[in-house]
Amino acid sequence: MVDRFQMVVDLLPYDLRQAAGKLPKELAEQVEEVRLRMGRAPMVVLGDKEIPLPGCEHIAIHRCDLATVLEVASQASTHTVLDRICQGFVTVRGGHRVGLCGSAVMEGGEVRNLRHISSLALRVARESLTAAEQILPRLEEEGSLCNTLVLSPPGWGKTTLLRDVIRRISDGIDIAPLRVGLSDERGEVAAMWEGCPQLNVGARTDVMDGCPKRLALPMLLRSANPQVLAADEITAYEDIEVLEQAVGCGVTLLCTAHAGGVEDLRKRPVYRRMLDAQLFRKVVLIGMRDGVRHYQVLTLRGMGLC
Amino acid sequence: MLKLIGVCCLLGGGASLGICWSTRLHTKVVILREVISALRQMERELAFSLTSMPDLMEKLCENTHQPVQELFLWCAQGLERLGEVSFGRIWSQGVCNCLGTILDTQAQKTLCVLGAVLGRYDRQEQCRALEVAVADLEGCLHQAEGEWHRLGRVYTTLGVGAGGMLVLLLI
Repeated sequence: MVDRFQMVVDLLPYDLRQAAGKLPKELAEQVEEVRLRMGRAPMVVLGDKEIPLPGCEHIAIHRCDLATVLEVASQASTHTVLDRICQGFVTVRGGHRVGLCGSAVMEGGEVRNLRHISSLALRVARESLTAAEQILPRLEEEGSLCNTLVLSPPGWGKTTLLRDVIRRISDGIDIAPLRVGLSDERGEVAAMWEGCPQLNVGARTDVMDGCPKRLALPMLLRSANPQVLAADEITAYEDIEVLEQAVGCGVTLLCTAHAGGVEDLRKRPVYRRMLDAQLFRKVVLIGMRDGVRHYQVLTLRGMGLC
Repeated sequence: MLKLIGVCCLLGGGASLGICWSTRLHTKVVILREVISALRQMERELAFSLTSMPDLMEKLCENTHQPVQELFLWCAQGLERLGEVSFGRIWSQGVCNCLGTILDTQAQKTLCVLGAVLGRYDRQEQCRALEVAVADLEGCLHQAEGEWHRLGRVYTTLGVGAGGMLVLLLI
């Protein structure tokens, strides 16, 4: 994990890099995010706490610091990540995500660019090879994997869990191996770099990254003949339309969404449609108790839970 | 015999100096042509392939010759220092160190201005900046070609003439 933290530290301007590099190993292992806000001291997120980066309590972040992080993150190639900047994040080598806030430049009702970047959130991508150990057997019914939706608030480990579920299915750990087609729009699940996944998603997984889910999922269906289709962070009607079509093709779905629970889903029109269509049979809820994640598997029957 | 050798040396030395000056003018023309060609390739790569800066520098290293190649190699290696130094600064240092003795101030300034845009803006704006830089450098190229045609032979003749004068004076 220290190496993964170091990859994020390497994105920082020289002075901050020096300070972050001096973090004790046990603290560095726990860092989930580094946060840089204009005019404020750099912070690190440890579980549910956010504290100033030790040794940098009196340093104020300048505009040039934020620009430097973006320059390093894009390898001085803003043009290659501009579409992602417009979505508010850039994924870097290793699957780490740089979230951006600033003033949006609008054109034709869409975000064309972000100027005056005001803050950055550098999230350390985590890889857990045990996250799905307990829950995977519970996602099966009569020997078949059920369509499954993973729910949790942001930053609670949906992507980490999805990745481990995919890896286990793909490698046939505690389940018969299946071909997985993964739509990795944000590049956080497999963290592809020059065609190779930086994070383990299994031996039978085909990845389409950097492409909107509404385009990637049909492409995967046509090109990779998957038995399982996986996608991170379902957010739009278009995604749900494509998932409806995919279910009709006989593949199993594995998806994630931001929500505290099934009731949260019902409050949002996009997800209500998903529930009405009965796309998913199983729901995995990620909870946090005393900084420790725990998983709950629920079965959806018709419009309700059981 | 000794006098004859001396005469030859003086004439040869003078001619070499003249040819050296003339060659400098020609080298400037050749380098400017190669820089313009590299910038055009850069523009194509950005416009059609959205090539990242590390890949772009690598490709340009492969397709150019010294000393222009040295500039792209400098930038490719400099990318490892991102975070300590900006790409614009790396590029400017490269222009200064690799082409500073060959290109005139105007051409260097054009390249440094371009460096502040490369990798920082969207594709269209970078392509526009490249177009402007190519147009400016073409102006420098026409000027350099004119100088070479006008002064190249003059320098050679002057060199030989100066050597001859020295021979006459010494005799």
